[in-house]
Amino acid sequence: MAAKSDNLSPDSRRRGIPRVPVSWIVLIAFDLCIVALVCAQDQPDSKQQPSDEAQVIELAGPVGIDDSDSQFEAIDVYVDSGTNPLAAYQFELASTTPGVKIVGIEGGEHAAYSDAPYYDSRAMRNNRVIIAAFNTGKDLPVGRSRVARIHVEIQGSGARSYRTRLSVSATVEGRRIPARVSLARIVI
Amino acid sequence: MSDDQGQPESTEPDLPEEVTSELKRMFRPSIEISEAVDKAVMADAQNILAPGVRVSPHRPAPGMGRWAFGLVAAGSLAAVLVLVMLPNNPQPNGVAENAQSVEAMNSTPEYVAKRDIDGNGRVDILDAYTLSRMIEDSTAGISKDQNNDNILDDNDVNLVAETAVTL
Repeated sequence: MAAKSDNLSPDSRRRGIPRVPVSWIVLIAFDLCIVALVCAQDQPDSKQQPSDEAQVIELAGPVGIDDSDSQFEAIDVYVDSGTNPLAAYQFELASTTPGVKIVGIEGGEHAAYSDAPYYDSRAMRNNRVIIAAFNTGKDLPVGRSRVARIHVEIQGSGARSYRTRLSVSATVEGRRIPARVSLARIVI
Repeated sequence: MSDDQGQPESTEPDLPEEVTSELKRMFRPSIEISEAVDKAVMADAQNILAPGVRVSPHRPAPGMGRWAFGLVAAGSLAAVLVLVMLPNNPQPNGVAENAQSVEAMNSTPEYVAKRDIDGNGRVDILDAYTLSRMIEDSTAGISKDQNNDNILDDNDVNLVAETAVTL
C-alpha cells in the first residue's frame, strides 16, 4: 500500500519521528518560560530573610505537672551591646519544643525600653514572635540590659528550647553594632 | 546473466535456470497499487474488522492546526497578562477584618519598598528608627509619608515598625 505521511520530514520519515513545526516549538518554549516565571514567583523573597545566625537556648521548664496541665512563666530577654549605647534592636524568638504559647509581651528594665516593644499581635497564642524597639533619645542602656519580657503558658513538665536571632542591634545614628541576646526564665 | 540485452557477455558462470527464476521472483520490482484499489481494500477491511465505525483520517482537517495554535497562543498570552496584572501577594478574599486588610496591604511589594527607608532591601526596626530621626530633624520629605495623610508623624514611624515585626 502506498503509505502517506505528510507530517514526516524525509529524515524523520526514515526514523518514524513526527516533524514538529517551528512555530509549535517556539510556543512550547514560551509556555515553559511562563511556568518557570510562576515557579520563581512562588519562591520566598530572600531579601526578607534575616541573614544573622540563630542560636538555640534551653531554659528549664515546669517540674512535676501533668502533660495536660499548664503553667504561666516569663522569659526575660537581654541584649548585651557592650560599651555601645543600644539605640535599636530587633530579634526573633521561637519555641522549638511543643507546649509553649506566648500570652503577653512587655517592655524592659531601662527607661528607654520600658514601653511595650513592637510585635505582631498574631504572635499571641503562638510560639513565635518578632520583637523590636528603638529610642532616639540620649539616655540609652549600655552593656547587658533586659529589653523585653515575654509571658508564656507552658504545658507539661520539662525544659524548653528557644531559637533566637538578633537581626538588628544599633547604636546612636543607626550604626549597626555587634551584640548578644540571652534569655532567662522567670517563674511567676 | 544470460538475458541481459545489449550488454557484453558476462564472464560469470551460468546459473541453473531454477536459481535464476527464483532470484528474479524475489527481487522483482514492487507493484504499484493504484489509489482506487487501495481505497477499496481499506473499505473492505473496515467493513470486516469494524463495521459501522467510521475511520477518521489521521491528518486533522485543513486549518485545524492553525486554529489549535492560535488557541494555545491566546491562552499563553492571557496567562502572561494575568501574571503581570496580579500582585505577588494576593489580597484576602471576601470581607476581611480591617486589621487583616491593612496587614495584607502593608506586605505588598510596593509598601515594603516604601518602608525600606534606608534602602538596604529589607524592612527592619532601623528603618523606623531612621524615619523617626528624619522627622525629628525635619529632614524627611513628604515622599516618606507612609499612610498618605500628607503629615509626617509617629503614625508613619509606627507603620514602618509594624511592618518590620510582621510575622
